[in-house]
Order: sequence, then structure tokens, then C-alpha cells
Amino acid sequence: MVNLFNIPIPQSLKADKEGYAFLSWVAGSALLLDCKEIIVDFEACSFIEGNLCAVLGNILEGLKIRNKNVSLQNVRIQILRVLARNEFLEAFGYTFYAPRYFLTSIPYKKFNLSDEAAAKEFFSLELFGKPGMPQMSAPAKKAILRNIFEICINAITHAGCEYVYCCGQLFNIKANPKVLITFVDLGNTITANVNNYLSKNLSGNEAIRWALIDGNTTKEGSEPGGLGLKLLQDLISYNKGKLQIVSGNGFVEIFDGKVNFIGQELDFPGTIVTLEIKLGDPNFYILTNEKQNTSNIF
Amino acid sequence: MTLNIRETIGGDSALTPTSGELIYNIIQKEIGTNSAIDLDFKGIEIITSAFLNAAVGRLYAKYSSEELNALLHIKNISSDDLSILKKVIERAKEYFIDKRSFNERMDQTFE
Repeated sequence: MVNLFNIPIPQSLKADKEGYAFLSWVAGSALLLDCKEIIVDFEACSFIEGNLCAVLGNILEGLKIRNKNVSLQNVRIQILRVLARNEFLEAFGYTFYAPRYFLTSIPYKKFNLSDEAAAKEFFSLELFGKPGMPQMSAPAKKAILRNIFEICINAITHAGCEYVYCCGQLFNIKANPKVLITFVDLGNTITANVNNYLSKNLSGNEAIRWALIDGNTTKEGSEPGGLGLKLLQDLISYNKGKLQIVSGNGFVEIFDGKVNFIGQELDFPGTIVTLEIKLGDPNFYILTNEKQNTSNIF
Repeated sequence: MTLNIRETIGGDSALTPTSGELIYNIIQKEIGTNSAIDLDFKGIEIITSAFLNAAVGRLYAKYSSEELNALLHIKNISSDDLSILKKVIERAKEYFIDKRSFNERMDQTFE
């Protein structure tokens, strides 16, 4: 039996094909290993997109639940600051003081949405309440928040998980301010759910393609569904943002009006959703002022 | 009766199917006795389609558009939330039509 497993974090860990391939390898190997000690080695790592701490954290928490000892080693000072500011270190029992002059993180957190008001408060504050960030219009804020909750509820409903994990990173670049938020669960994949529902054997990309079609849902029983992903695609289109979905061996990216079916070699044993939202246009979500009639709408 | 959603779910965020189910049970009880009900969205800040599917969408499993139009009324909903509600209604109608035809096809297959 191997007693020690080393997870070497790469030099740069970003929300891209290489980054997701690495995280899929970590999830697939580490969670199945029969060893006691897990070392997350940051020696080579000089850059990490903080939002990916959601994925790393969910995997590491899965390991701790399996009674593994997880330790983070060789973390450079700039990475320590990122991991401290987004409260990832704290979640794993490490203390490191990082001055919070730059409030550029949405803290690492897991949700089960039993307290809806607290969840709303968290995202309102962490996304829109930070000094120096562009002020979005009220309808824009509302549209973003709604979609965040659509993702969280979808994850809990479809993946069969108790919690969805999230973490975000704000980039206050003057010309192009944006936020990246990653949500992850280690539950039933989209591939498994769609194939089970359709009794087919679609690939990850094909299953995600099916799930993205307006009206398609794997929900059965007395409650309809299938609108959450449509609303999310609408938001990304209005905002000119980006949406990435990784599940099983599927990896699909929606950006600039195009859907790119990228795919991956290794399976991710759950679903990752990363949203990139542009913060430079406060009025990207314009509502009609026309008074809408509510009679006979059924 | 008027059903104030904020008071019933205990907050300004109508997010989960569980909260939606609370509303559905009350609506169902009223409509079941042929009583009219006003759904009042005053004070609700965020609504998801998941909440609306559970609260309103699933009513189409039991009731027709005519029955719902006669007995269920919407009050104080913002225009963006109303757009989502309309999409949920449209989707629910399609879902239950598809489901009925699917079940009928299955019944015929296994007869």
C-alpha cells in the first residue's frame, strides 16, 4: 500500500483545458487512493486563479472525510496571500495573515442553501459590496445573483450532493474589470444524468450539448425544469461573459456567441461551472419599462 | 385569500424548490376548494426558476390554464421576475403535454 500521495500543483493553474485536466486527474486519482497522507505541493506553483480553490477545496475536503491527512507544502508567499485572502487556508486549518487591502476574493465557501437569506447576503456583499469595484445597476446585480443561485440549485438537485462549493476572484483591471466564480460538486455528472434519462451512451460533450438545449431537462415526476441553463446562457450573452462547464469527460465553453466543445481525456467525477462576468458595463442588463399585464397569464 | 410570499417563506429570497413547495401546497389547497388566491410578490428581491417551477409550474400537473386563470392571480411582481414566471409557465405547459403523450405512448407500447 502506498502511504503517501503527492499532488504537484503546476506552475500556473488556470480555468482552462490544462487546469481542468489537472484537477480531473487529482480528483480521479486522489479520491480513489488507499493511502493516509496527502501532500499538496505548491513548489512549482507561481500563479493560481483563486476561483479554482473551489475545486481543490472540494476534493481535499472529500479526502479529509475519507480520514486522509492533507497538508499543503512549499507554498510561495504570493500564493499564500491568494489562499489566505479567499479563506482557503483557514478552511484547512492553516493560519496566515494577509493584509486585506485588496478585497479581490469571493471567499471559499460551501452552500446547501438551507438559509436562502444568508446565501443572498453573502453573494451580494462579496460580489457587489467591495470598495473600488464598478457599481452595477440594480437589474444587472439581480440577474447575476439569480443565475448564481440557479447554478447552486441545479448542482444540488441534479448531482444529488448536499453541498455545492464556490470561490471567486475579482480582477479590477481598469479596462476590463471582471469576476471569475467557480462552482463545483462531486456528485452525478451531467453525462451520467443525461445518459440515464435518454438511455443512451453520449460522450461528456454530447451530454452537455443536450443539456444546453432550451427545454431539455433530466427532471422527471411532477415538477418541470430545464430553464436554469437557458437563463444562464442568456446572462452570458447579454454580459459578453464566459461560461465553462466541465463534467465527466465533457468540457464546453460558451464565449462570444460561440459554443466550443473542447472535451477532456480524463473524467471529472462531478461538475464544475465557471462563470466569467464582465463588470465594466453597469447597465448590460436593461429591462423594459413597459408595464406587463399579469391577468390571464396561465 | 392573499398569499404573501415573503411572509410565508420568511425572507426576501425565493430560491429553492423547498420554499416553492410551501407556496404550492397553499395554492393547491385553495384551488382544490375552488377558492381564488392572490400570490403577492411584494418584498421579494430574488426569484429563481427552480422556486417558480416548484410553486407554480407543477400546478399544471393537476389544473388547466382555464382553472388557473380563473382562480390564481399575481400581484406586485417586478417585470423581470414576471418574464421568468412566464417562461416557467410556458415550459410547464410543454412539459406536461410531452409527459402525457410520453406516458400514453408507453401505455400503448406495453398494452
